[in-house]
Amino acid sequence: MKPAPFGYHRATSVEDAANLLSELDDAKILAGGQSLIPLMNFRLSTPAHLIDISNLPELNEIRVDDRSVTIGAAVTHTTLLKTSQVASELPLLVDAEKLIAHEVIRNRGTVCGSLAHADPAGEMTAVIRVLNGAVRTSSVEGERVIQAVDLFEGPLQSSLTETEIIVEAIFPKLGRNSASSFREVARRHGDYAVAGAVSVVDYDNARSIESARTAFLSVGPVPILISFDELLVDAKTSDLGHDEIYEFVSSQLNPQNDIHASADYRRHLAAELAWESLKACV
Amino acid sequence: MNAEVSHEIVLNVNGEVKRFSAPARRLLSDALRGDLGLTGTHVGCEHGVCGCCTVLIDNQPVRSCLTFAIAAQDRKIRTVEGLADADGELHPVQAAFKECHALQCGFCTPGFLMTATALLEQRPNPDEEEITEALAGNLCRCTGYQNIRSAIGHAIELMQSDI
Ligand SMILES: Cc1cc2nc3c(=O)[nH]c(=O)nc-3n(C[C@H](O)[C@H](O)[C@H](O)COP(=O)(O)OP(=O)(O)OC[C@H]3O[C@@H](n4cnc5c(N)ncnc54)[C@H](O)[C@@H]3O)c2cc1C
Ligand code: FES
Ligand code: FES
Repeated sequence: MKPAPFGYHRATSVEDAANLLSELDDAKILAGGQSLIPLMNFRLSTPAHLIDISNLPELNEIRVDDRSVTIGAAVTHTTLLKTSQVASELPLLVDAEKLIAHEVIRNRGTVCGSLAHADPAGEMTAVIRVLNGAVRTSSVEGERVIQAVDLFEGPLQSSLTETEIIVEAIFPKLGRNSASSFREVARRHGDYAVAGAVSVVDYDNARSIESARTAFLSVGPVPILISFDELLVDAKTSDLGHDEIYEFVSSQLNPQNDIHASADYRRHLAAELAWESLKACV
Repeated sequence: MNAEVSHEIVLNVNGEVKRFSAPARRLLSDALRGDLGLTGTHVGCEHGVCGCCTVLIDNQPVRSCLTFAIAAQDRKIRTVEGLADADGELHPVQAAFKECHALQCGFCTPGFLMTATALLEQRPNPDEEEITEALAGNLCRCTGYQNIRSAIGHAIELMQSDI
């Protein structure tokens, strides 16, 4: 099918995009279009106006400082993957990117677009959740920062207002005493995951686990975070038991049945992947 | 309903400047095929999955079904029609597909050719994994992937013996 008619506006600045978004009725931001255009082709989405931000140089920046990696809204998955500083400073971002679609899609799709799209099957939603990251937004009302925990409200539903643009996403770096790992199962390489788990484990100086947490994709309406602190605090690495983790995770997840997998299978996968990704961190 | 606004769209396709008028919702795939008569770019699923609409924009493979023509202005677009020489001599990737029987119905072929061309321009000596990774985003319903993979290997040989 073909998209319904719409008005096209190429934004000249973030401010221009924010003004257009508030002036025009039923307008949406167009970034890489790799999630929005499929929906429009099938007329599942029929916005009256699109505001294209993909050419704004001010949004095409990656900044790395002591604390975080900050990714502008026009930065594509491919640009992120090819930025060697990201690979050394926050390798988890690269691990996640390699699981996102195929290179052709990554060449256009943006990191911030996948956060705005709020698909609980999107790898970046789980990554920003497990890192306790945030997005900075802009609108005619001003700027604000939305923490990852508050960003996702339901499938394809973010807490952005209708006039708000994500300007950049902030991914906190992991300290030297932390490890991370991403595991997922997809039907075919590059497909959306049937289930996935991304874990972060923090150690103290004596190499005892201080804290451990896993964010899950594709098992709920939003990325779900489970903390293992009550199980793991002061545990020696060897105390990480498969059955304990498996039970702990599966008792807390409530995935739905759908055409891709049954709820039980997804729960099983998620619990196994949590175990595998935690194990890879120790 | 109001008549739909038409835009003057200028595209750079295979090194030539092309002008036409079309509404903003015109997909690049439909602009290439319908407005410019370049029917080598095929259209299958229109949601980014099959890969037969793959073209190069600024030398990167992208889905033309997930790109609006109006947003592809100021970019360099390359399609399968631009692969062979002006005198009709096949591009090494095309010659390799022909010699290795890497197509049957040919529906998927333009997408594979563009994807493979981009791969070999970026990495003239890809390893097995890089080849698999690059081709994984394109679907073929009849040839099977073994011959397509062999064709990439043969294209590398042809390109190296060309120099
Ligand atoms: C075949 C295929 C396979 C895919 N597989 C995966 C996968 O395995 N994992 C995965 O995570 N993704 C996958 N994707 C999606 C891809 O990663 C998208 O690029 C991404 O989800 C959205 O980014 P985009 O820039 O394309 O956003 P767009 O499609 O342009 O926009 C998506 C939505 O977000 C809004 N939006 C975009 N940017 C902003 C902003 N800065 N501020 C406010 N709102 C904004 C838009 O209005 C729209 O509602 C796949 C896509 C395809 C076509
Ligand atoms: S038609 Fe574009 S990917 Fe299938
Ligand atoms: S040759 Fe027929 S689909 Fe590939």
